[in-house]
Amino acid sequence: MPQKSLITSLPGQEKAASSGSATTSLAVADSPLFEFPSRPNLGGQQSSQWLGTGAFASPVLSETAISAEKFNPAIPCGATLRPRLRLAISGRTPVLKTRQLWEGTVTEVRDVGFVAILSDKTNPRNPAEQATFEFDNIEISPEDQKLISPGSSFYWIIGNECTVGGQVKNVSMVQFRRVPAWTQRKLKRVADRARRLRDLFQEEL
Amino acid sequence: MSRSTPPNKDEFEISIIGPGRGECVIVHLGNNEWCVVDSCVPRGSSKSVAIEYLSSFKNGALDRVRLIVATHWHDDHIHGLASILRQVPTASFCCSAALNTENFFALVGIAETGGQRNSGVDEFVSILETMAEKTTTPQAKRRATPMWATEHRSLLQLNQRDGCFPATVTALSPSDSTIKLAFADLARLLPQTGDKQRRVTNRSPNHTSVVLWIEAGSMRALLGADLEHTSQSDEGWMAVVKCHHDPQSAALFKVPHHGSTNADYPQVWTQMLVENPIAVVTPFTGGKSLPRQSDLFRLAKRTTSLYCTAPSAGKVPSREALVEKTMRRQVIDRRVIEGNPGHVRVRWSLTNYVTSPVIELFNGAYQIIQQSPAISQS
Repeated sequence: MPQKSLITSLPGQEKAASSGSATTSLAVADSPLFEFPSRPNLGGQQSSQWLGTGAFASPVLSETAISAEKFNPAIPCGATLRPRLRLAISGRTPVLKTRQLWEGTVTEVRDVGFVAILSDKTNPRNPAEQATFEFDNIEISPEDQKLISPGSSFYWIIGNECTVGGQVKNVSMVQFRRVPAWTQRKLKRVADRARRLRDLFQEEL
Repeated sequence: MSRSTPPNKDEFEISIIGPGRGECVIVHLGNNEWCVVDSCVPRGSSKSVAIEYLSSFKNGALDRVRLIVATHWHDDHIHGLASILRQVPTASFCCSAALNTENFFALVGIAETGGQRNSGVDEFVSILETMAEKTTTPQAKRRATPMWATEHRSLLQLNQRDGCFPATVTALSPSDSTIKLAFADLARLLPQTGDKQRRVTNRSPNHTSVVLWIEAGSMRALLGADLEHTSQSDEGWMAVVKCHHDPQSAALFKVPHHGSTNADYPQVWTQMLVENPIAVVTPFTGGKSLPRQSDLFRLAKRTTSLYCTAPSAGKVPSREALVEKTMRRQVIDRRVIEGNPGHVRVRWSLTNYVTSPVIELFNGAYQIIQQSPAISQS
């Protein structure tokens, strides 16, 4: 069954097929969302430019049609209108209240998920835990998914997010740490250090 | 007897403690002289159980630790070992000769540079840092240099002291072939240019573990570490059995690799151990939990004196409802890996055999009975 569109109609738009009737259904889908009495006929031009040819006609109006619209586009009686929501309130940003934070280290990657050691950063007295995650149950961004490999570390936050509109919702967020890559210079430094350590701890037999 | 009652000087004691983070074996070699093998730190503590246990005697036992052994570098064995070394600067330190390679020292260097510390190799960073602090004079350097354990290397020899029995600690592994193999294993863990600076994880096999043979007077004990059995005759348990020459058999066996099947080699039981020895298993709580029921069933058929240091690491902590609900939805399996360690203590009086041995269980350690439904093979 086709879904009802959230945009029901433009003011004054009529369905061609029922223009002569007492009431006009203005639903863009197959069932009307609201109805209002038909307006007086504005001429033959109207039917070809204002209206489509079927129930799913495009609501796009031509310039001529708009200029020809001399009537008062009053809100029809009984119409249900959706209030315009303010999507952003200046000076406010979403606020995340962390209820639980872990630092995790991946120990094993499987086809369907990964295993990690979690250390509790909210209550460090809690013991470390091993947890098995399945990719299907946890939202990890595609960029972060590329970072999952043994040894990689991440933060897992469970908390409440207060949106700019004032809504509070529960969130669970896994974010992998971006770590720099080994450079030739750094690896050389490691190799030098390894040689020095080995010399230091050579047994004198 | 209370846990904090020290052994008599003529008593040979083996205490097996775990799992906290890691596991630990503490050996009394007579005359208040001690050897510590591996280390573990209980949940919520920063102190190694060896420090806590030896300090509880209040007889200076901690200062009389003669040898500290790291059987291998995985952090389920050596967590907190550096803290023991710091407390007992006079003790010798021993680890597997397989680690005496530039590759392992490079891993240590990587752990130092990478900044993400929380693995067995990081514990080694602390161990080597502690030892490096001691190398100010040539004499101190000699003491600070690790002893690299290989098969049949004597690590400690205590002669008859003050009427007390003689004692020796000997390494039975790793074999020469294993050491060569380990070189390649460690090389695989080293990053290449362009690789991300990740934490070093315990992904190398356990075949470089140091197995110890302990002689105390007429008593013998075999500490199996995490050594596994392979199909190669010059590696793993086959190599150990092949080169074993002591006509005496061990009365106590610390079962290797948490009782897993991959460390099971029946000839060890027939050729190195007395009939019906005391066998002690330490559970492993990370990765795949060990021992499995089938492992306990197999071991219980070999001896009636089988003990386990702890049932498991314990319950996961409970958190507020929202957190618990989210965790349940997103995590399919969850378990604690740092437990409160249990303790199996065995003491033999080497002057009074009638009363020996005395086996004591502390902090949840238990005996495994073959008839127990807990280990009946399902």
